Amino acid sequence: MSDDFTDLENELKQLRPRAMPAPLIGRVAKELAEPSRRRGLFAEWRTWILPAAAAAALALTVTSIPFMMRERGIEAETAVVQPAPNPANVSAAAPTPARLHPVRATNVLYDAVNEGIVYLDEDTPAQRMRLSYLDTITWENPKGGASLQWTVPREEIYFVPVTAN
Amino acid sequence: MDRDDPKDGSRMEESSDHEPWTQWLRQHGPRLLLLARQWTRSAADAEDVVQEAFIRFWRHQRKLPGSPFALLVTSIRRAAIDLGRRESRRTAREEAALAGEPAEAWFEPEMDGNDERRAGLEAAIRVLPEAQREVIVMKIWSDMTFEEIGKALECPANTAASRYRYAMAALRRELNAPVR
Repeated sequence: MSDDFTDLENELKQLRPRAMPAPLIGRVAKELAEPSRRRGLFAEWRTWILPAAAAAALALTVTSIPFMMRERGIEAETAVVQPAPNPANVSAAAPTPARLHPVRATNVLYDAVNEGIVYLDEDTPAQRMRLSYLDTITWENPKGGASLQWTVPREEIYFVPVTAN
Repeated sequence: MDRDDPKDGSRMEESSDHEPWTQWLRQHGPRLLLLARQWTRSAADAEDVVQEAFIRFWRHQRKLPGSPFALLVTSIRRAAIDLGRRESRRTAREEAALAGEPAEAWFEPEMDGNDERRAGLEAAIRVLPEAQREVIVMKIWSDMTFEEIGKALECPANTAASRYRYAMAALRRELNAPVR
């Protein structure tokens, strides 16, 4: 059988899809004239989602840095700064380990990628942004001048709602 | 074909900014409605999903880049699938009532007295499997490319093209078959 369907295609194209029913146009007009049905907190989510995300990230950073510092400080005391025992003086009291104190915490944004449009709750378009940071935390021993610096990469993903207006 | 390209994003943008939405919907709505009808069980359901998708589009998506028509097609298909899931628990009695309803026409009646041919074509399209029918409707009445059809249906463009060829061959067979 021939694969040339030109005649049939032309014949089909002569058919005109049924016109839009007037009641349907009326229903669309009525709904467009009304404010969005999504009300309350969810309806206003565009106004608070970004500040809330920023506040949450800040709170997380502020609460986690002292914890990370404390954890790292203990490791530094035992693994780096602990003096070796002196065999000639084994009876002497053990030396006090030097204490490291956090002195600096910085973060550098080194990349931001717009990963395109995604749909939140299936119908709300949003742009997915991936932000890449380098967090650096520095500890120092105020007595001996020893310092320890810890740098770690971190990524954050934001969804930025795309609004119609 | 003497109609505006429904996929023309710039034209849509111009239309939405300077003309009332009713004009755009009257012009392109019939094709959207015909498409929606391929994925729904009744004309009323098709109207509901077109309404839902168009409202969402007009309120939230009309400034998005890309083809507005393709966006609406995807949105309508998704809405139809959601509606189908919600209504899957319809009672057998409701289903029987729905099946007993007279089939509404998908196309405008021909004014030149050749309505019998129109009815024959429409009947032949209706008996195609849904996977073939939706490709024909997208290709013939929405002017979509196989690539665009593949994206909308989440299948490779080659698959869409194959379904189209099978559908056209089946249509030709059906139309050439002796009257039963």
